[in-house]
Amino acid sequence: MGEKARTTMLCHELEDIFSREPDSALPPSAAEHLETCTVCRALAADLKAIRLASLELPAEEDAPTRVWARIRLELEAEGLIREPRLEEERGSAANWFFFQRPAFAGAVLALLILAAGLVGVRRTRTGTNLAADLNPVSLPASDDQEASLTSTEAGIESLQQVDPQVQAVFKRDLALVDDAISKCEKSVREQPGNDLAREYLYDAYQQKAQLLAVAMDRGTLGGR
Amino acid sequence: MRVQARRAQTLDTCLSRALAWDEYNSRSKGRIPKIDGVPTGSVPRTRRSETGELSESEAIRLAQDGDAGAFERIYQLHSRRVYALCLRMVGNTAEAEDLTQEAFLQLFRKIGTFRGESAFSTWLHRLSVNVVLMKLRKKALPETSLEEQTEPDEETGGPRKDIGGPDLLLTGSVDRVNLQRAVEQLPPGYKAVFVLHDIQGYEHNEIAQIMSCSIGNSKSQLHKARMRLRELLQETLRDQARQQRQAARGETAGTD
Repeated sequence: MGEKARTTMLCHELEDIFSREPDSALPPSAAEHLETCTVCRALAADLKAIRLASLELPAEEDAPTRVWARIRLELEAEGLIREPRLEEERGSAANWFFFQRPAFAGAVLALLILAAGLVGVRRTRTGTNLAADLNPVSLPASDDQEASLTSTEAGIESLQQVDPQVQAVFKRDLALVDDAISKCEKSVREQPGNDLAREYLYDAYQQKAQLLAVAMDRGTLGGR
Repeated sequence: MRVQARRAQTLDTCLSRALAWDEYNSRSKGRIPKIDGVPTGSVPRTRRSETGELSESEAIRLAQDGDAGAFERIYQLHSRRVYALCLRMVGNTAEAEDLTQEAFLQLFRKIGTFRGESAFSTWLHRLSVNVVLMKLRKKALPETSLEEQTEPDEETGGPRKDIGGPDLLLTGSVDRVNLQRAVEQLPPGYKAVFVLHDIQGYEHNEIAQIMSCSIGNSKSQLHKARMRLRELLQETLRDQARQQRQAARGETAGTD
């Protein structure tokens, strides 16, 4: 008579199965082992709990818009991007921007100061200073904002005398960004402790500054 | 003239990035999770083009020709997963942003060499993982080679019998915050496999291509990652139980 074949799985054999096939269904012999071994049963339960909990961690996250902006600028700097369009708008806008640069430069500077002020609030945020940081008045002063908007609007109005089409483009584009700024400011005022709202507001200010800077560049280059 | 045309395109790009405040709530998970060998969902990971937007293959072709919109389309299709991967690997947003930027820059610089031998997302994730691991190497964190034993004291025999007793069961006790913290403490190699598989839903054959290892190695590293997470989470539970006991003793002493 031969030896009775061992049918009971050992603990290390079960762990070997987990290692080789971490997510496959267990064979019947493993299931039998789990019925009798409290340690391995606890191990299997814990591994399952970890797998279930990991499903709650997001597989995707939104990267801040500045990431793409930086990538884009770098691609341009390296000459990897081909630009085929909008050349016809250069000529008429160029002369206007050449003369109106100071107004736009002021608007860009004001926006960058606003954004820098917001960054300063974010970077000094600590647990002990949280109460101060939560104060709604830490938002950039509205009169600085008004100054930037006023000079921007004056610039756009002057543009109408040069090229209505270009003016319409800028008006539309600035309206989009201003709308975003307005919504973000409202949220920051209503939820002073919301870091994400501040981050979006910071991004929106940066985008407006970029927008105006691009417009200035176009005018500068076309005027030469 | 070319520079001015580039600036005009930058203008359009800035506009397309104008934020809608309520957009930040939208997220998607895109995984095919499995428990005990059974798929629990069938959410496709690859986005398809919608409403006339460029498909991935078209965007790749145009990007190889330097088309700005195509670059952005590729970024739109893949940035969320790449950023999530970077964020899970390094644990802070500033570094994750830098790593995401670097991964896409490397991708776009090399996109002319992509011939379609592997899935584009696999190629991108391989770049991303390499960028992250290089960064972690420079920070001199202990790095785990997928071919090495990383736990010198690891038992090669039966399961650890000194932990995992029934009184420290994780079932019902693992919350998202504790798990995230535990994941951050994993060695880089374990962390990468765990993030790719358990969080982002990649299969082992895909992970093997991304990590340049064998399928068997991917599976064993995943198991080791989970075992290490188990230890870390049980330590957390023990610490919490200890604090509760101390707090209870403190209250009792106060009423004596």
